[in-house]
Amino acid sequence: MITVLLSVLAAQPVGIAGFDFSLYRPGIDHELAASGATPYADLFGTARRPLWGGHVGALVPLGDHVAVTAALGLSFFSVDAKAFVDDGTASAPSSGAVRSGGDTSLAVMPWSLMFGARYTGLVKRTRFPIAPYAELGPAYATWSVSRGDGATTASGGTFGLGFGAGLLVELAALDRRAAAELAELGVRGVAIRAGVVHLALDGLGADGVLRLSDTTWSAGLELAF
Amino acid sequence: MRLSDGDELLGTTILATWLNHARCVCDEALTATVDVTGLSSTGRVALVIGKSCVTSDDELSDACRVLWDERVGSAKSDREVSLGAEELAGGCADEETTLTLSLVYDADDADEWTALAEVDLGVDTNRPAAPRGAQVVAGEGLAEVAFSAGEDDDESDDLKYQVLCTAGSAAGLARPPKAAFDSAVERCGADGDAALVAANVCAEANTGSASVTVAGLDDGTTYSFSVVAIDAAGNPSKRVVVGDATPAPEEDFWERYKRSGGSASGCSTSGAPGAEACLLLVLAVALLRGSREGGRG
Repeated sequence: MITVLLSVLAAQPVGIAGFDFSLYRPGIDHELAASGATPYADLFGTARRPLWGGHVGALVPLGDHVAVTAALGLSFFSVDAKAFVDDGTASAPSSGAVRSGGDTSLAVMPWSLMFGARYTGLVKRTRFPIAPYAELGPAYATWSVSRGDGATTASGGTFGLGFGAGLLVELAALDRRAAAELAELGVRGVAIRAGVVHLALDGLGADGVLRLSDTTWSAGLELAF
Repeated sequence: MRLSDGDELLGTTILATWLNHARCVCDEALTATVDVTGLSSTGRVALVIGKSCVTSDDELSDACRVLWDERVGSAKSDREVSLGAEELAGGCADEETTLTLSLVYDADDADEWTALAEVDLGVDTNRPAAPRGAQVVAGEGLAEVAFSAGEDDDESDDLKYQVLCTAGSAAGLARPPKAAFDSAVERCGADGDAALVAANVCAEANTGSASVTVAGLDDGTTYSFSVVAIDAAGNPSKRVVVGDATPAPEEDFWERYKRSGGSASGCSTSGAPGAEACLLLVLAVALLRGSREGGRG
C-alpha cells in the first residue's frame, strides 16, 4: 500500500476530462414495490431517458500496466409529463387517471467522486487500443419536483455510491500520426468510454429518502491533457 | 408637408403600418399640413396618392387619385387638410401595398406638375388567416391553449398570436399582455366581433404552432378561450373559438408519490424556506449515518 502511495506521489499526473451519456430511469418505484404502486411509471412511463454528464479529474500512471484515476462527475436528468387531474381522494389514484393541462417534472442531478483503476498494459505494450477500467466512489444526487406553473413542490438530496466498469478505446493508439498532432496541441490522448454504471442512490439504506438508483450503460468521450 | 394623427406627428415608421383594417373601417383621419409659403400665388397645389404620381412628362398619372387641390392664391398660410383613411386606401377591401402621398405643384396652370414632397404610406387592410387546430386543456390554476398557424401564414408574415379569455376575465390575471391587435369594435364601435376587445387578452405567442400557458386562473371557474393571429399592422384574423375549460386541482408527481405511500420527505415542499440549508443537512446526515453504520459493521 505504501509502495503504491509513493508511486502515486512520484508519478506525473495527467488531467482528464470528458462527457458521458447514458439512458437513466430513477428507481423511485422500487421503494413501493410491496404495495404495487408505481407513481413514477404512472406519470412518466417506463422508458429510460437521457442522462447527460461530464467529468474532470486526474490520472496517475503506475508503471506501464496500471493507472489510477480520481474524477469529479456531474450529470443531469430531467423528465416531464402532464399531471393528473386530482380526484380529491387521499388514496392512490387509479391508473386510468385523467391527464390535466399542467406539467409536472422531476429533475435529478447526480454528483460523484469516482476513484478508479485502469489496465493500460495492452495499449502501452501491444498497442492494442483497449484499456479496461473500474471505478467507484461516493455519489450524491439533488432532485426537485415542479409543477405546471414552474413552482418547485419538493426538493431534496439522496446520498449513495457509484460504481462503473467498462472499456476505454484509446483512439491515439489507432492513429499515431493524428495522436502526434494532437500532442502538439496539448492533448495527450483521446478515448471512447463505454461501460456499465450502477448508481446506488438509496441513501445508503436510510429511510425517508427518494430512491434514485439505477443500473445502466454509459458511453462518452474522454480527453487526457 | 407634415402628417399628424390628432396631436401626434407621424414619422415614416408609424406611417408604414398606420393604415390598417380597423382604421379604414372607422375612416380615421390623417391631417396633412401643407406649407405653401414659398410658392407663387398663381399656382395650384394638390395632394395625390398612388405610385409614381408625377410622370416623366410632368403630368399626373391616371392611376393616382387626387385627394385635395387648391389654388395657392394670395393667402400664404399653411393649409390643414383632413384625409380619411378609407379615401387614402381607396376602399377597405383586402389589400397590402405601399402608396406614396405626394404634394404636387403646378406653378403656371399648365398641367405641368412638380412633386414638392412625398411620403410613403403603408396600406394593409388584409387580415391574416385564422389559426387552426386550436384546443385547450385545463390544469391547476391554468389552461394550456395549443394552435397551429393559419393556412397561408408563414414566418415571413411576422405574425403574433394572442389568446383571449372570457368569463372570469383577463382583468383577474397576473399582468395580461397588452393587446397587439387593432379592433374596429373598440376603435369606433363598428359592427363585428364584439369579443375581440383588448381587455380579453390573456396570453400571447410570437410563433404559430405554439402551446401557450394561461396562468392566474381560478380553479372551478369555467373560461372560454379563443385565439387570433395578428399581423404587423395590427390586423387581427377572424377570432377562432377554442372552447371552454375549467381549471381544477391537479396531482403532480410529488403528490402522487406521497399518496402512493412514498416515505421521502425532501428538503422543502411548496415554498418552505431554507432549501439550500436543508440540502446540506441531508448530505451531512447521510455522511454521518454512513460512518456510524460503517463503524458498527
